[in-house]
Amino acid sequence: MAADPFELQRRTLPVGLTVSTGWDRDEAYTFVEELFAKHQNEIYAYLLRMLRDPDLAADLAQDAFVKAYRAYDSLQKPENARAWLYQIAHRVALDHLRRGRIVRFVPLVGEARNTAPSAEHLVMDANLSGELQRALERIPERQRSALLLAELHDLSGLELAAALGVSHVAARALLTRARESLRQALAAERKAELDFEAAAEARAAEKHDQDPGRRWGRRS
Amino acid sequence: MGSPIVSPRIRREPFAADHERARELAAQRVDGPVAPDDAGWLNDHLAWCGPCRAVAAEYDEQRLALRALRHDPPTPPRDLWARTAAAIEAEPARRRPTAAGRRRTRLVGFAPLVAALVVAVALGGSFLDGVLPPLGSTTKGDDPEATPIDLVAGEIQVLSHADDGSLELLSRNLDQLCPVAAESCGLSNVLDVTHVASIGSNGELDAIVSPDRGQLVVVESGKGSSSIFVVPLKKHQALNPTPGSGTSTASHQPASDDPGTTATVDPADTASPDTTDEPGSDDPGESPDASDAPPSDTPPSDAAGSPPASSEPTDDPGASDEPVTTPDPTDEPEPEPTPKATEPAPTVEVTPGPDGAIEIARNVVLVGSAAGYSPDGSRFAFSARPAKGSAGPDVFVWRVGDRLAKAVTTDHGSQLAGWIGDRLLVSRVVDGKPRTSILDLDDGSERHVGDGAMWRPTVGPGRELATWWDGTVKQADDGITWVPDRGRLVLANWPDGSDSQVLAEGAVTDWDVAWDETGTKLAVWVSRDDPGKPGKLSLYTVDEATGRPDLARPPLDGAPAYAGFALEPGRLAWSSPAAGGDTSVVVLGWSGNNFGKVTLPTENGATVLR
Repeated sequence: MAADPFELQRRTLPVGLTVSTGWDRDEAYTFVEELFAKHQNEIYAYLLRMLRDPDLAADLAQDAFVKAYRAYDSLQKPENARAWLYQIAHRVALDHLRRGRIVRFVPLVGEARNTAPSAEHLVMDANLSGELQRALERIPERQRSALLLAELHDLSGLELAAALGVSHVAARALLTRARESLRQALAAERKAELDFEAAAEARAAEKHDQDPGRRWGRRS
Repeated sequence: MGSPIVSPRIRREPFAADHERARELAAQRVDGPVAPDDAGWLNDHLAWCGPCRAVAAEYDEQRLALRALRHDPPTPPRDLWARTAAAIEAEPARRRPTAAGRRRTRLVGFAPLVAALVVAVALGGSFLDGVLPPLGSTTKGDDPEATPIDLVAGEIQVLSHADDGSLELLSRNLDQLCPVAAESCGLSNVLDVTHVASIGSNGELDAIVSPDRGQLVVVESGKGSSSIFVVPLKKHQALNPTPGSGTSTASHQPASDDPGTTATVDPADTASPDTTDEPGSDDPGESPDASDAPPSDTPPSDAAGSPPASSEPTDDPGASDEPVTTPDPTDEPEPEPTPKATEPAPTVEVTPGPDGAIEIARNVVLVGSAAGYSPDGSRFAFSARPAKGSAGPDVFVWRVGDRLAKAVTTDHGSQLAGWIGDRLLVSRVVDGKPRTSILDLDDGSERHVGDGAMWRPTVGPGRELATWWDGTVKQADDGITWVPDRGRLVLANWPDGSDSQVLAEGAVTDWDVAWDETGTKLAVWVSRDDPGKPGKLSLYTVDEATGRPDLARPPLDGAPAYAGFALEPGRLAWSSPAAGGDTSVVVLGWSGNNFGKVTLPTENGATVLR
């Protein structure tokens, strides 16, 4: 037992990151260049699906690759590069969402149900549309991330755990909760849609009843 | 008082828990095969349970809908590499040298606080040499003034007494620390001080915050008796300093140059620093405990719909020694829809106190350290006995909106072990052996768990592991409560107890165990002394592959700590004895393999919100 309770042991991060002293700019550049060529599409897609903003997704994808450049020598095993990169992108996305939490729940223009979407969201909506998109928006970010990574980005269980920075047990539990959350969110979306339509019909009927021409017997 | 009696309850089939289990297994099955026994049980259940079958079908449809989106992936902008390459070119040619041998000592200055509190912050040094710059760091060459780096941490909240005895909430944003090599990084050192409630009498405090951080349960103990209050926390109380109090300043005020205490650096491997956002204690969707909860379209428990308490607080002197709760043994808890919400808990409607505080129990003595909110925040459970010692402990549950806590056991020999979903784990002595049951609050049914001795289990995330006392128990000096005797505190597979690891053994009197929500850290507090005395707190890292804690290499090993700690992703906070009889609040923060320490000495004592 250590005498000082705060004394820490040198250890290796379970996700494959480790302490290293060697860092070479050219090697780092080449490494990230290859990483970019191989994974840019999926990393951008993941960030876009998380954030629903093409410009922001591009900015954060750039940020993720710059961070990979800075820390390339912390990757122990090349075969873990994909999960490692997803972990960086995941943190970049969550950090952004946390910073934006104060305004996150403010409805964006054009995002309300049955209103015209903004131009920037049309791109997103083309890929992730309707109630599924809105339902994903309603579930907690980490759950959303877990679902997207597992289902759309096909990360294996261990890759998912590494990307999320949790144990595989916790990752699977998170995924289970995410599925239930999404199920409930979809149900809520469907109910809200029905309520909206019912309200619209009620308004239409009311308007029809209040039509002066109808009330007073409009004559042709 | 007779020997403890397990309350007779009639098993009613099917348990609500069966449906819950079926749906959980159905969700798990989507991601891979479940255990053969579970698969068989699930198939049997789905064969007759239409609603669960429908849910399982929804999971399958959901997966198909998500996977269908794979076929049309979005395309990144064509200039993405050009932008990325330009950003990389703009990076410094070499990274900041590591901080080995460059650890500095400095005192971070403070704006004056109320007389109740004098705080110094010590940012302890990195525990590792040769630390990498964090993934999220923004290195700027060798600028003397570095940019703070982000930690996977948030706000530390501490409850303390003001001089007038009222309660104050002290908070500190700890989502940033100075990077390893920083001379300074402009960190704010100010604790926001906010009046919480005028319910204090300068007794000892325990404080448990609700998952949505909208409420605070305060246990105030003194003179052999405790009172339990629920205090609604308004957003401004949790987040903003008291206007005009002179006790706070804007965040990220440059640190003073005062010499003094230690410096710590704690590179984070999270993303780029942001110096503008507050931690989201007002954001239920973001609070650590609630972030994984399902979304809510189910309203939280409605105060108006709650059953009335069977007894009310009284001013009758003749009744003043009786515990004020609702210990009605015959009143089976009414089934209620279980909120599965991340919505803020509704405001307590019964607010006799000027600050909205209500007293849900008094003239009781809390037993054990397992009091806590249900995961959805709709209920708070604790075990307590009458202060005058006329009976042993029972488990009480307070529902949001209720006037008083209500007894859910009546045998005067039950201790709360914790929550497992929306059910309670309750430990009792049965035939001289410690046993644990799962108590369903919806229908009052109970079923034993585990085959052997099991006392006060705490079930981990994923419900695959748990800790409990594996051994015998004995009657405490008061003759009416049970405490561990011979045995050991183990961590083992839940609930069969296989593959156990020993966390503590010998003369253990109390303990508390918690996993962080990511399941990557496990904190264990063990006391071998009387209640109120400090125990030892350890932190373990959970192995990715096995899900088991690495007991051989704890990042924190047996630090002196009073009961009650807060473990959240990236940080562990506890109250520690300090010189002169004062209490310090200590926070250990980490990001990746780097750790930092913050010490907050206080004068009037402080209790970490857990």
